[in-house]
Amino acid sequence: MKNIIIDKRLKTPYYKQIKQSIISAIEQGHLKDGHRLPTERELSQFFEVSMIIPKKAYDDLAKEGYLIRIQGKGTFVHARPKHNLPLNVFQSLEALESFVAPLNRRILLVSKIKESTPEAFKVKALAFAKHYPFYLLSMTMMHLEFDKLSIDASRSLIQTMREATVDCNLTHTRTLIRSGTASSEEANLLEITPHDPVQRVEVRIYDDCEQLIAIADLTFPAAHVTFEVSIHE
Amino acid sequence: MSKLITLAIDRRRNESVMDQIRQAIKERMLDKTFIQNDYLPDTHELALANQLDEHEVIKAYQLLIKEGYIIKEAKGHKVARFNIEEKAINSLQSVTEMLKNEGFTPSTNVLEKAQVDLHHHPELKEFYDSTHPLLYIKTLYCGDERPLLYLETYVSLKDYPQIVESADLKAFIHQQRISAHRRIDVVKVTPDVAKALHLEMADAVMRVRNVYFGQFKQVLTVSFVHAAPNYSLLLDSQH
Repeated sequence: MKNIIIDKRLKTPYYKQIKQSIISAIEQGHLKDGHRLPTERELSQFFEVSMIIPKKAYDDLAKEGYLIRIQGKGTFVHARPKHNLPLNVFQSLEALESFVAPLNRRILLVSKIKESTPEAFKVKALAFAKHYPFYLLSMTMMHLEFDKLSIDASRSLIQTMREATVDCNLTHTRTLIRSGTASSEEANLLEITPHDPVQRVEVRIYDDCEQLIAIADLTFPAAHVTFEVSIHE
Repeated sequence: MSKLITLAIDRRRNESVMDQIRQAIKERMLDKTFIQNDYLPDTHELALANQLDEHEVIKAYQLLIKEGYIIKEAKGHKVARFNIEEKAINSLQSVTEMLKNEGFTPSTNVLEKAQVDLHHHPELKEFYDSTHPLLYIKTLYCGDERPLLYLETYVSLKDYPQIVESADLKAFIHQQRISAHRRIDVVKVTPDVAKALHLEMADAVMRVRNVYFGQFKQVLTVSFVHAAPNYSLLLDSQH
């Protein structure tokens, strides 16, 4: 209820005020996907307005795709964006770099893998797009100098790697895309349900001597991400 | 040299121990613990290491042989060709061609051919208008006798009335198509798919939607491919 505002001193129609307050709450991330909104009756009693007003607001928003109304269950926020990713983001190092760079990221873990020669490090991060988890990244990097490794969320991990690798020239990648189901940890981080379908993308990054420098495992929530490619011959 | 593995067998689950062994070994093939031409551990050793009855292991191996995942040789149980890494995602190559290139002996099996109504297929609305009668063809592609791809194709009968009589539909479509759009996602299996590809209902599989266009940008066919879990897409970046 706290996200919905009606100011009776304004000239804007009440139903428009309800609509605007819900849309802005969704856009700022206060109202999340699947959240149940108050019923029309609750709204009309709370604001002391006619039943028609919340009904018009909800119907309009449902038509515009912001809400889903289920008879007998309630009105729910439908806000999680669907991404259509062109397949070529994985097809060159530059595209991959620009893809993983600018997104909002939360670094979950940076650790040194014990008893490995050469030394290897693991970085785990969660990327967000518009308030929702977009993918989970788990990256294992070899041939790095740990002292030079400065992980911060605003920089691309591949850029960081380029700087921290020892005399390596990262040149190309090999990517495998597979199907899978989410483990409970992945589901928790990606805000989906365990056993929900996920896309698993494994990107192997090589240097110019065909030496494997890093493996990046990306996990996408399949209900919200699809890959696309256009072919011309 | 075969690798000795520990299997997570849970006797409280309502799946039989034999099924759990079979499933666990398939998973080990998926995560590449066992790759093509590896030998699986000896049944006796595997049973001993995991405190199982050897008969259960033998039964599981026999089923895997029957399903085509492993081959019995004098030396032991060898892993058959298992993972499919499709490299043809950026080309208009046919499925049969792709399977051949991956080293499989392809075979096809038409499961169903029927005229359908668009009303039952809302996912096709963006390509055809609702008055179009459609021909629906369901095909199962096998490699080395093992089911690998489950393909459902829709063709408009209004634009291509000759297709019903056409003996070789594939050749007809193949010679006309000049571009395509592919969309790849991962979905839970439906009962039909599970049955055709020998999967459990809880599995998720890759689904590729292919839309083929002719020379005037008209839609030729729309198809949905469900791939077995051992299928993956391989993209190589240019140097």
